[in-house]
Amino acid sequence: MRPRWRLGAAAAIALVVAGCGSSGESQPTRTAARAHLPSTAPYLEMTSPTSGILVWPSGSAWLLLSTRDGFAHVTNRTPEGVETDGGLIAAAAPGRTVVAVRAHQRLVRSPVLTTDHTWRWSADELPGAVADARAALSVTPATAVLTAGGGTLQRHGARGWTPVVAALSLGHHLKIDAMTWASAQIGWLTGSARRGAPTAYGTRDGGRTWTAVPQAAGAVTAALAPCGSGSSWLMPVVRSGASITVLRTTDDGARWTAGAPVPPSSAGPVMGCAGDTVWLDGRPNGRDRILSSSDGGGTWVDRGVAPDNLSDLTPTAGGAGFAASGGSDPQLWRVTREGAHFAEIALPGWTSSLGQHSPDMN
Amino acid sequence: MPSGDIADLGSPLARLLLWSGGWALLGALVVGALLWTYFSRRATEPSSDSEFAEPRGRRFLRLGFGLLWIADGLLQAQPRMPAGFVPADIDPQLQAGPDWLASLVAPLLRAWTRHPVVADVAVVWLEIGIGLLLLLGRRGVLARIACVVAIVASVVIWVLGECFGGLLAAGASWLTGAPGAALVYALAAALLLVPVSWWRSGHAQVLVSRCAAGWLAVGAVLQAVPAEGFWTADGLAGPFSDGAAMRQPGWLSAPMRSLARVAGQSPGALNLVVVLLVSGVAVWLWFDGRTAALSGGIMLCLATWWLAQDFGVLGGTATDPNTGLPLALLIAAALPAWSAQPAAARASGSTVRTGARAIGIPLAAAFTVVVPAVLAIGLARPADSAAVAADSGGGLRLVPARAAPAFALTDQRGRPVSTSRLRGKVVLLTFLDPVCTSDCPLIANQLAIADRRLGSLAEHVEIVAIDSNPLFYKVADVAAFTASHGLSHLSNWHFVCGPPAATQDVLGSYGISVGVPTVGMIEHSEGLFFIRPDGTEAAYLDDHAGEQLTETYAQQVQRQLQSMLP
Repeated sequence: MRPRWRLGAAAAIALVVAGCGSSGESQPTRTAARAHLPSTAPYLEMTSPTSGILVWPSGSAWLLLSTRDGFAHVTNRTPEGVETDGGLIAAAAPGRTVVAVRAHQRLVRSPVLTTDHTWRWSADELPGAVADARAALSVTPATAVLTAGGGTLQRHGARGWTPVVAALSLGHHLKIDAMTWASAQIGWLTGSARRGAPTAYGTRDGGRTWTAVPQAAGAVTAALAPCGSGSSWLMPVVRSGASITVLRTTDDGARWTAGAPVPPSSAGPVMGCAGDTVWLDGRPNGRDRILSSSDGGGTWVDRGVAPDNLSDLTPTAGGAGFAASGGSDPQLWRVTREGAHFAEIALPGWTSSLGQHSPDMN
Repeated sequence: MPSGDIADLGSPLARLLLWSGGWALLGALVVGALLWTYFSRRATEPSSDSEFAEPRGRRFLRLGFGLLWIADGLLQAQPRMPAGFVPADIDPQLQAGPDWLASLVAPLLRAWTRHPVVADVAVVWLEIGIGLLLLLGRRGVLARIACVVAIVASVVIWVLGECFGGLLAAGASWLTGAPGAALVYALAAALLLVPVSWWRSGHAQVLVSRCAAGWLAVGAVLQAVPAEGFWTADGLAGPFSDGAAMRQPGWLSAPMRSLARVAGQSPGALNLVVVLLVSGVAVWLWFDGRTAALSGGIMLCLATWWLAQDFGVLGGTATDPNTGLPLALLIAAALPAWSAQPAAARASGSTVRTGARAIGIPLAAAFTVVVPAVLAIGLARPADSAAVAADSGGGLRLVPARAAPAFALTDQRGRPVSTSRLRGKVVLLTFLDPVCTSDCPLIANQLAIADRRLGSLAEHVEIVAIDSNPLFYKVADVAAFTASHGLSHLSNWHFVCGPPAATQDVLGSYGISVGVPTVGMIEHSEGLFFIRPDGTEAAYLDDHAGEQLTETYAQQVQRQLQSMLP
């Protein structure tokens, strides 16, 4: 009896330990820390090979810079009248840019500012704080804006902000990090979830109903914002064991196929897409390397050593693109040869001093 | 408010004390001369009063508490008392107490903040008058009047001045003097009201020792209740370290520092000792009213008075010596030694005594009734501007009564708000940024606290914040701020906004500058305007408090508003 009792006790203890280890949010949290791209690191969003916006640190503040010539020149577009020390989440579409200001100190709702080509901001506020993910904000081809704040997607319309879907209603402890819209009707929301639960959902009716992406579940612990256009989309997913796989669809998400897995870099799942071109900061042999794929993540080519603290990779066209790295010495890069060559782009001196403002009066 | 910020209103206080005391003395001399003549004629025959042999225990209690009342009156005459009474004695209780307590005490606070010197002088003479009445009232109608007045005054002081002896807030215990010194005064006066025969028979002494035992038992229970916080190092060390922090000779504070250290190291053990000691003495006093038990009770009270209450009179804003000394006096009145022989009947017809009574009685009546009544009339006058300003703690300044610049904007509910619509109400006007990340939410929070403390008086006040951000100027913006910071339930809160051009004009007319930096939150000067019901500016609270915005800010706002309310 004694050996059996001991065996039973050991099994019970093992079960408890295993339960503790896999219960609650420990696993999603551990993965989620590296499963999305935070807003508090330099990043850019290009609307054409030479035009786009850059979110850039300056002192304690964050600036929004725009360019029309591939960052040969930049213009400060930072919205006035709001504290940007907490970070900025920006999304751009041709002729339309939207910025959400992250909650900071006692700011409990995120100001959201919208502008067109005139760069005159129209101010609004979310009914909550925007999530700390650079893809938490999305501009649709129409005028609606959706963002993830407090676990709820909100759509902006004529009557202000209205909820689209709450993470809780999807169950499985999904932590929404991002959403992406192919059109006003078709879109995806992605995030991290407990192992086994879906990490990505799609809608074909503008957000009224959501269907889990089956390939983004099971061993997948997080899904990143898809990129693409038309009916072709790529959705990177993080699998347990810390490998990244790109899911690919060519039929608006009806079917997804998985590419070759790659270990992500120490900086996290930094990657960018343009059509079927994918650049990824990977760690194939224990060192951070730039990997590129021309078939939507099906196969990868090692392009060389990646810069330290890489925070964004944005391919544009013709094997070129841009990249940004953070840390104590943020840098903007012009990337060529499919990621094999990085050349630093010098930004004007005012970009580093503009945010070093005096202490607040209010 | 830190004690160092309390204004010294010694000069106006001394002037009013001399003025009112002088007139009272003059009147008493006149009346006293008439009474002296009357008493002198009656003194040819033995009076019943002169033949009255008062039991020594009763006499000790009467004289002791008479002197305590006078001492309390003198404490009330400390220079820092007019400005310090509310922030040092009342506000801490209100901060920790329930909302209804604030509403209950609001009339007192309003009167005191409007006329701190007048109110303080009224209390000074009232307490001295009660002391004189007790000293003079050996028996008869005068003694009964003295005791009844003392009881009523004690209960009023216990409720309004001590906020129920601190029982409604955590941290009330035997060590801190709970359930309140004023109740000991009331208890003593009530014991003086019992028939003199009880004192002669010893029943009164038993009653005294039982009352003292009950008091100690309540103190022990409070000391033991975990919610009061005396089983923790911070809670138990508090009374000792607070006392040690007072300016006094080192040999007085050294034991307190030692006890504070012990309390910090072993709070449970020390509190257990205190609880057992107090409850043990309570039981001893209840079942054994002899000298040993009474002496034990007296020693415990005096030790507590020294070590935990630091004599209760230091600091400049103490209103009484706390419970240790009065309770010791009360217990001492029951000592068997007093009943060895009654106090000898005084020689009848003493000219000195007759003269003292002839002047003392009208003087006591003047101090107790006439002077406070006359001063109470003064409380109805407009606020004592200089005193209020001095009491405000520095940031507040009175301004010329110019008409407040007009505005007509829209509040967070979409309703129009204008200076003309606000006429008839006291208006608290400030300037906030709805997407401010630093001070604006704190300021709004402090205004909400001040508003809550006003209780029912808040219906006479409108709090108006003008949106100072020229970029976030829509109703949705101010509504979002209101909801975000829990202000939606305030019916008198108006966060008003309008087209940037209109609001910037209004801000300019109030001297508020707004800057929009290239990067970062808008910069705007801050401040609070207090506007009278007739639309004229009364005061301005300059705000450079920044992150230091605390309860003090709300207190300043609350006091200024109270001084302006009808």
